[in-house]
Amino acid sequence: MRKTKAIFAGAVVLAIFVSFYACHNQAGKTGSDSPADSLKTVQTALRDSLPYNVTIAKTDSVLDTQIRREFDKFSWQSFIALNWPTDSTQTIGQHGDNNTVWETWKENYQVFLPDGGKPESWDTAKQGRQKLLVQVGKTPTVLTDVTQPFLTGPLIDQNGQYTRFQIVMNREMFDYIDTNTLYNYQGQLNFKKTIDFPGGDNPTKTYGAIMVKASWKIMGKGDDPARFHTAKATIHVPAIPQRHIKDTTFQAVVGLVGLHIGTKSKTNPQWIWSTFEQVDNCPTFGEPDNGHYNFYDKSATGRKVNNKPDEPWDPNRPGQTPSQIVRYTPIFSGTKMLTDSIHKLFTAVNPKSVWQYYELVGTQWPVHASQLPAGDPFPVFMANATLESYIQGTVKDGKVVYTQGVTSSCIGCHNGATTLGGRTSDFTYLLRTAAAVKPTKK
Amino acid sequence: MTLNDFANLSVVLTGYPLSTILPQLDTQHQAQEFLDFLQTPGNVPAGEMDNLATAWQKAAASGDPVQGVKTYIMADATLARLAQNIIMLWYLGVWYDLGTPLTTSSFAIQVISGKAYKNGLAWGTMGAHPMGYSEENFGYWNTVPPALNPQPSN
Repeated sequence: MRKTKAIFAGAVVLAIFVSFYACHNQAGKTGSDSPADSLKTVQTALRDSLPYNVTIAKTDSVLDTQIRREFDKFSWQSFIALNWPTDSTQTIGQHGDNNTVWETWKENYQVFLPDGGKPESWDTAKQGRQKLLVQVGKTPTVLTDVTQPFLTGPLIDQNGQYTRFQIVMNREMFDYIDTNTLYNYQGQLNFKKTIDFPGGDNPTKTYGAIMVKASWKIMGKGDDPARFHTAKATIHVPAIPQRHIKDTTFQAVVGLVGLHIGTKSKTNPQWIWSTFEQVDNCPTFGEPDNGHYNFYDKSATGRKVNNKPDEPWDPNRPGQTPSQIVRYTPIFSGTKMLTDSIHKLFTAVNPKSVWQYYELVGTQWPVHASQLPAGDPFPVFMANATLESYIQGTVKDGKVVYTQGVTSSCIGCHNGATTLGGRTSDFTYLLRTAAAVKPTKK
Repeated sequence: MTLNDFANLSVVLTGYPLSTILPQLDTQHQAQEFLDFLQTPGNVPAGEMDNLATAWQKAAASGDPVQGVKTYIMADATLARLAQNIIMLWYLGVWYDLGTPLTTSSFAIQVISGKAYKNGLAWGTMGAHPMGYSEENFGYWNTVPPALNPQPSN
């Protein structure tokens, strides 16, 4: 993974012309954003090496287009490296689908143990594609929390099945938590310094903390497995007596529908937030809604759009009304063009590559990182339809309305993350899932 | 009125630098929202924005924009009132009824958007955050407040 060997699709370097990023040239801007200027050759290849940080050329000065393009490239480079086969002699999608690197990383439940104990070392318990999925919400406790943060709720697919979620972290993030005993309540209380995960850095070629959040649907009727990265999963629903939910475990093939990548870097201490989706998830507001979607049914006109399911929530209850999800913010035109060019790389490797069915929704980063704590994030709002389904904004008089502090923003939300002791936790809520070590009985 | 003209006029009216009014890397597009509002028919009487633009161009061309604004805008009762409303727009995100004298307490007002309210210059000027919205970390009320944003310079 760390070697910088580049593997080129079909031994051919593909020059990708990323062009026509929509011009939003504004008065007062010094940078050129003419179509000719944005017809910039971006040489991109499929490679297994994760980027350390984003590099912004001095000539890139237009936020909406030039600078965004560099962050979007970073996102795609990260996606490709994270979904690279675990056998790094292979190429991503060479056999259509493949085991991925990120699925061997530590799961949150492997780090934050129920007894607050020390997690096993990094090299143990790698689960790969034989995965255990226990979450039915982006937040691990969506079914057990008395109050929901924002409008979090389960996401139900067209077959009435709950979407499942998992969160993993890379070694740099795990080591920081492990070394500083942040995996339990007492350790967090005793940690007196400011929590500061390592940040990726180009000059020193060091990786920063990375966390990945994935959403999976149970493959079923209407789903084409050839369009998904799939995995065999053991799905476990822990008993929740107060909700009358029974302990259930079953096996299923699941398909990846959403992928968040959060990367901390030296120059982006508020982290870089990249979010991807499977292309069949939902239609976009104001655009045609033809075709089969994972989370939208054109004929179901009576269903409220982007509305969390009615309670009671129970993943074991059959025949539940599917969620009706619409993407409220269209994917930026330049981001789409970059995605198209990456898809060509995938299909050059194998026309049946499942990775051609994943698209970059967007990248959010702190534009003025020194303006602590939030760093002036851009785009101001960003949502993954499978991970922030119900906080994408609202529709008023036929237009989407966004509300700062309410509508989905990765940095805006994670900026409020704390430890169990109420201290800022460097943009991750994971530390709050730690348990306390119980006193030993004498 | 162009965005550049509106931004430079706003620098004089608010006392904040151009880097605050129209940042090089502008995530909020606040100046654009205000200009769009002012140029929406019905919000400002017909012709007044054109008159303001003309007056600002004279002020800018005078070599001393601050004195120019005093001479060409604030000396004109109609334009002065519009300028005062623009100042309040920037500081509070609120639009006051132009037909009501400023000395009257019963204004018809409009918060033009949540973004405009959040971005009001009044909050940074007083070293506070908007009521109901803060980007500070949890527990910030226990620590010394951060340094103030760029302050008015004139």
